[in-house]
Amino acid sequence: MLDLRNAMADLEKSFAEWRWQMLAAGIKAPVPLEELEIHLREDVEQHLRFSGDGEQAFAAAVRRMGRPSELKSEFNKSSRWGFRFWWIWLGIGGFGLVQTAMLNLVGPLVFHRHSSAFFSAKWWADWFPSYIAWIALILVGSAVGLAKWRWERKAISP
Amino acid sequence: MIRKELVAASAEPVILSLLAKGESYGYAIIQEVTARSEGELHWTDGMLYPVLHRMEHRGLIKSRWGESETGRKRKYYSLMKDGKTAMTKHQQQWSLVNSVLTGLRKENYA
Repeated sequence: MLDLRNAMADLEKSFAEWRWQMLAAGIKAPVPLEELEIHLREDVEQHLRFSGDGEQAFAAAVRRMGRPSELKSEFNKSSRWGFRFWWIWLGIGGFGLVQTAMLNLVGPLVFHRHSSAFFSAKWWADWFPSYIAWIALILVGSAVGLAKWRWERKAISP
Repeated sequence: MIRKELVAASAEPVILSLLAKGESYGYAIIQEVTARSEGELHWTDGMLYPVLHRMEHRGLIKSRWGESETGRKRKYYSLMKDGKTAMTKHQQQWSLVNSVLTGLRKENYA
């Protein structure tokens, strides 16, 4: 009769090697890695009951689990990073834009300096590049975030 | 064996329909899909988890850590309200596709 506990204990080195391969592929977040390992252990255990050959059961379970690089790529799709990136970028750009406008409008009053009227030659020289830079930052960030979000929404094939 | 594109498209409705019966976990979901499709719907085990995580991010399902009968740690997934709505929509759409194909097949063999 197969001693399942001992058979699983004999495979600990193989499990450690598999974990290392997953980490090397970039699956570093504890939750997916732990979940995958729990699945792998359950699969190996189930097949050990029938075959009795630990190494064979382990190799077959690793094959069924899939290649680490492919798994990493699919986990990236489910990360929602595109959506977060878009908000972070919008926050930075929006903050910069508001700050520029505040300095533009309130600054001259606070510091009792000559106020630059909108669209005068001085305004163009002093402020226009800042407005353009912040708006460009928002637009580029939004485009990158949207592209990433669309990529993440692609159907994942289990 | 069913084509990869169809496997990808059917993953969400299949998972939602399975979870509608009650909470489950990754390994059991894979086993049930394999048994019900007699091995024709082939899922790569590890690829199930990114799908589950994305469905969880979208608020269709939720998860909780629990324990198996043998004391092993397990992550259980269950259906949320938005998941039930999504499942109903999926089932209507797949039924429509099925009825169109069935109708055409009957005409072809009539």
